[in-house]
Amino acid sequence: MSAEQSIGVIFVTAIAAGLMGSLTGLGGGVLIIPLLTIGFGLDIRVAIGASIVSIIATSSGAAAAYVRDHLTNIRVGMLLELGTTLGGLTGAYVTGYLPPGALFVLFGLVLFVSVIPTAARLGEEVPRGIEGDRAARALRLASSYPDRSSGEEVLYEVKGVPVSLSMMYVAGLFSGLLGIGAGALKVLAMDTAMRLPMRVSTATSNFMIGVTAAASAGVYFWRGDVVPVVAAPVALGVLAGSSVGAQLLLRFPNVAVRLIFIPVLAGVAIAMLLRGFGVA
Amino acid sequence: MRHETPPPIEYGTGPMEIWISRLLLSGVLLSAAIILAGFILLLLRGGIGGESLSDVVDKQKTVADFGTILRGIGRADGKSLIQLGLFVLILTPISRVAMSVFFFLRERDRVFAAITAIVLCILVGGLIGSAFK
Repeated sequence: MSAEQSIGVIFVTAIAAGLMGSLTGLGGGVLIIPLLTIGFGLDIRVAIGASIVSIIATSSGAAAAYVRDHLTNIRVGMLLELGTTLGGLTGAYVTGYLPPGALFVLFGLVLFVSVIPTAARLGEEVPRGIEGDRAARALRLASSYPDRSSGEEVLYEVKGVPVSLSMMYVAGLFSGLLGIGAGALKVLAMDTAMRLPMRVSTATSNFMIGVTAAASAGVYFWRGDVVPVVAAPVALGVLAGSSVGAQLLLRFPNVAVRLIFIPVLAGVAIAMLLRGFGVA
Repeated sequence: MRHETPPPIEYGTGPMEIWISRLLLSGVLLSAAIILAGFILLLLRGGIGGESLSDVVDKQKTVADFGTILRGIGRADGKSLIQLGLFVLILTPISRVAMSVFFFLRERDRVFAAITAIVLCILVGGLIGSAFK
């Protein structure tokens, strides 16, 4: 295949990855990196570099809408970014020292962990009777969000600030290491430790993903891992695909979509693990 | 120990939300336009003709520096234009954080102004620190 043909195929698959990423809520990174490495035989660091910049584009686009609709808890997001950006920077530097095999194995494992909340969160609601902790009260993190069906403002409290901050460092670390948004890990922390309503944690996770990715993207950019010929079709394709996906999500419930993609993602995770162990 | 009751925060979409939303959207659209222009230039001018993808990747996989990118843009080099667009993309969330520092200062929210300023330092420090090695 000539380079032009490869670029065309990358562009089309990036559109598909962006579409599936936004429908499943997992983001495009977890799909585009296996495609570029296993599909096109590219160096995993080049795939990570292309993915990390495309993540900034999609998450910033989605965050713009969520913030405008007042679903994002900006204060919680800004606070937790202390953890995610430090983790992101650490991860981007560590990647430079890890052998490719280790990156494949880590990627496969993180993908498995990411599938769990996707599978578990099939229909959940606002946690009730949460009492805000001291840090959350001092930082005035409690807020409200507009409920879609009733149109009323739903008030919610926040807890577990220190635990969430450390979990965010880990989420940032994996984001920087593997060039993924690590949205599943961020949502997991906010759901379980902070007890935020599901829609708020999804929106707030999206808000942080762009900043987290920007922290590590600079390192990849200057190191030469963001290769223009790969990054351009990936960023443009994923952005286009996820914009279409966001429109589709307004019309179709994503529960069915998630169910379909869980086995697909599990398959991708296994393929990455096998590659990491040198089997495939 | 006595605690002062913190003033209630306002609910709803405030000016910070609106400006953050606008900034993020403009940044993404601007960078996408620059990347698209560079991508079209790269394809039209045949900078990748006849080789395999991995050859082109190996050729383009060099440590980036700002001088080379700027000189490339002067020559209407697609590769350099894409890099400029990618750089604008990286700057988009960073400017969102910078804007938030300003908004928190204006609201006299010293704690959150400090928190966002630290995040800004991590981001800018990381970006500059990794550029000069």
